[in-house]
Amino acid sequence: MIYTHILKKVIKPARYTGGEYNSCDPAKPHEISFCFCFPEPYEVAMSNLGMKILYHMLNDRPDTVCERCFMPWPDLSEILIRQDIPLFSIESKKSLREFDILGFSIHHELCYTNILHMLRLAGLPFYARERGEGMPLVIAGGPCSVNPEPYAEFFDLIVVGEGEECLNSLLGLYLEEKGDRKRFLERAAAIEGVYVPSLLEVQYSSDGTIRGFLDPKVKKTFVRDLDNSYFPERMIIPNIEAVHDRAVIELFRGCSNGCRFCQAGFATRPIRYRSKGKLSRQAAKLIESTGYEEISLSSLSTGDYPELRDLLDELKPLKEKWTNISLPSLRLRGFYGEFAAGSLTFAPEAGTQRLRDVINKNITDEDIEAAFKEAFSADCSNLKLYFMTGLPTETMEDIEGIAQVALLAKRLSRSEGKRSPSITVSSSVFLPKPFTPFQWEAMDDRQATLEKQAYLRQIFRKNRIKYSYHDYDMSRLEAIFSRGDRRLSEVIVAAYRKGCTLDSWTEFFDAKKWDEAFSECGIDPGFYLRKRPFDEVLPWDFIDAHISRKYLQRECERAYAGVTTRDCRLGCNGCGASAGGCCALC
Amino acid sequence: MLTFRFQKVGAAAFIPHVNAMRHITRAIRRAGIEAAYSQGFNPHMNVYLSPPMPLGFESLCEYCTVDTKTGAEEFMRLYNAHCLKGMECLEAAEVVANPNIAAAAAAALYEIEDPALIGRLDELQRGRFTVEEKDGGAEKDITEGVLAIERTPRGISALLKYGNMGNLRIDRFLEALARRIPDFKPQRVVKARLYCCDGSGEIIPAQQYISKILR
Repeated sequence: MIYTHILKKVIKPARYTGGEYNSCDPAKPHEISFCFCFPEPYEVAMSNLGMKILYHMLNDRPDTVCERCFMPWPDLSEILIRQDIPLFSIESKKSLREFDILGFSIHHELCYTNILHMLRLAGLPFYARERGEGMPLVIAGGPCSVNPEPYAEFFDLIVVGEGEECLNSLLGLYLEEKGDRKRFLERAAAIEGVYVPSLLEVQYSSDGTIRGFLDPKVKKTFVRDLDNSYFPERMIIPNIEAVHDRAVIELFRGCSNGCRFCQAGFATRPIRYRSKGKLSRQAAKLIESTGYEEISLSSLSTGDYPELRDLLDELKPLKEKWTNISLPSLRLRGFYGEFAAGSLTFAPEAGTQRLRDVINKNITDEDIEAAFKEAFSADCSNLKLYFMTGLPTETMEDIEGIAQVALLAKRLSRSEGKRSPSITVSSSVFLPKPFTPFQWEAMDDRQATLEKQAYLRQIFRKNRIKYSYHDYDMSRLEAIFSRGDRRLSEVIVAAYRKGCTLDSWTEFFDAKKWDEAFSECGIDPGFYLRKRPFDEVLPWDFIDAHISRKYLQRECERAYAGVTTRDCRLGCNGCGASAGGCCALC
Repeated sequence: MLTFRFQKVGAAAFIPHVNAMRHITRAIRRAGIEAAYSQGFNPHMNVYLSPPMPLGFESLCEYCTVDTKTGAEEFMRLYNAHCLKGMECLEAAEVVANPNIAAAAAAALYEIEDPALIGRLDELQRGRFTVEEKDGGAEKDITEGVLAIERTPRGISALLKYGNMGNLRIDRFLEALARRIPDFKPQRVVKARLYCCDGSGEIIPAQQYISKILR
C-alpha cells in the first residue's frame, strides 16, 4: 500500500486508507475523473447525505469515476507539507491535481479556510483566475451556496441548489468542451443553478454597500421530481465510526413550518415528498447492501411527512431484523412516543410563548409539557433541549423562560419518568441567515451573549442540569460569512496564511488571528453584523432562490408584530416557491 | 456457535479493533447469516473477538466467535462474499461454547521480514531487548515478553507474550530490534499464529485450543 510509512505516524490512519465497503473501483474505464472534496475531516464528511448521493450517482455514470478527498487532520497535513507530497484521493491515492474536476461540498461557514488548505496541499492556486488549462476545474456546491460570495472567487463555478440534475448536465457539457475552460464556463452559466463568479460584476456604493450586479440572476436549481430522482441503493461503510454512522433515507425536501430563523426551511423549498412505497424499498435495499443496524428517516421535520405512520408500518420487517429506525428532527407537537426510549432531542428554540411566536415556532407551552410527559412515560433516558439566544426582540424574560422550560422538564422527569433521565440544555447564538425573514437582522453583541450564557449557566449548575453553549466568537465569524460579500475572500486568505484551519473545531479556532486578518485587510466585521434596511441590496440578491423577497419582508414585519404564520400544509402562504409548479402543497 | 479465524491485511490493518467488530457484524448482516442478539435495552449481535493488536500491523490470525447456527462451510462462503476486503474468513469451526479467546490468548507468533535479520539469530537470542519508556525517560527491559525467536527464510519469527496474562506489543518489540540492529527496516511484519493457554497452563496453538470444544 502506498504511504504506509506515513499512515503509521498519524492518528486514525483509516481516515485515509480507503477500501471501504461499497466504495468505487477507481480503475473503472472513464472519461471524467471527479474528486468529491469535503473540507472537513473524515468522520464529518462520511456523515453527509449529499456526499453519499452524489458519490454514487457519479460512479453510476458509465463515463465517470468519482473519488473522495477530505480535509486531512493536522498531523497528516504537516507530513504532506514537510515531505512535499501532494494531497491525494482516498480511493486511488492520486494527486488532486491529476483530476479533471474537484467538486467541493461546502456546508458550513467555518470551513472556508479548509478549502484553501486543501487547494494548497494539492499544489493549486487559491483563486480561480490564477488557475489555467492543465489544472483541474474547481467547482463547489452544498448548503452554503445560498450565499457563495465570500468564497466565490476561489471557484470556477458554483452550483446553487441541489446538485443531482445540474451536475449531470455539467458533466455532459464538460465532455463536449473538454480542454476549453473559458468556453465551458460561458456555456455552463446557462445551466439552471450554475453560477460562474468570474462572469458576475458587483458594483459598490461609497458607503461600502452593494449598488447592484452586472449579470442576470442565477436561479437556484432543484430536483423537480424527487420521487423519481436518483437515490443510492448502497452507501459507503466508513472504515471508522462517522458522526452519523447509519443508513439514511430522505423523506422529503423543504419544510412547511416557516420558522423565521431557519435557512434550510426556506432555502430548500419547494416542498417535495418521496412516496412511502419508494422509501420502504430504498430502506430495505440499503439495509441489505450495508448491513447497518440503524436507518434514519431524514428530513428537516420528519414528523411532518404525511404518511409517516404508514411508512413506519411498512418498515416493521426491518425492526424484526434488529434494525433500529431513528426519527431525527421531530417537532414537539405530535412526536412519536414509541421512539422516545433512549435519547430524545427537542428544539423549543425560545423560552417564552411570545418569542416563539416571533420566530414562528408554532408550538405552545401546552405542547411542550405534553411532549415532555409523553417522552418520560415512554422511558426517555436522555432529553436534550435546544434553544437560541439573541433572537430578534429577545429580553431577559425570554432567557429566564429557557430556564423555566428546562426546569419543567426536570420536574416532569421525576414525576413521570420510569427512571431518572438526564437533561441537557444547549443554546446556540442566533445568526441572521440569507433567505430567511431575519436576513436583515443584527447579531447580538458579545457582551449581551456572554451575560445571557452566564445567567443560564448559573441556574443550570444550581439545578444540576447539563448546559452547553456555542462559542460567541465562532458564531460571530459564521454570521459574518453567512451574510458576507466577495470582499471577504481576502480575509479568508489572510486568516489562512496566519494558520487558521479547522475553525469549526474549538481546539483549533483562534479568534485573535481572525481579528488580525480583518484588520490587515481593512475590513470592519461590524459592517457584516449590523441590522440592514429592507431596501439595501444584499450580497446574495443576484440569486433567485424561489423565495420572494417581499414575502420574507412581510414575514419579518409579522415577527415584530408577534403574529404567527400558519404551516404551509394548512394553506399556501405565498412564499414564491410554488412558482416552479413543484410545491407538493400548492 | 461458531469460531472463525480471519485476516486483517492491507487497508483493513488500519481499522481499529472496535470498528473491526462493527465491520464483522455488518458483513454477517449483509450475508443474511442468522445470529443471536443480546437481550436488553440496546441489543447487539453476540460476537466475541480475540484481543486487539496495534494499528497498522497485518494479521492472519484474528479470531471471532459468533452465536449462530449456520454451519462452518456455509458461513465462510456467505461471509466472504459480503465482508470488507482484507478481513476475509480463513477457516471456521462450529463450537459448543464460546472459547473466550480474548481471555485465553497467551502468545502470538510474528513473522518479521528483513534481510538485515538473517544471520543474526544467535546474537538476537543471546542479548536483551530494551526500549525507551514512553515518556522518553529510562530504558525498559522487555526481554521477559519475548518467548522465542527463530530463523525464517526472510528474517525471523518472534513468539511474544500476548493477551491478559502478559503482553508485549509488536511495535515495542520492533523498537527494541531497531535499537540493536541499526540498519533494521522490516519489509513486512505479520501476526501469523495465535497461542492460547489451556486449563493446565500449557500454551498451545489457538486452533488446537478451539478443537477441544468443537461441536
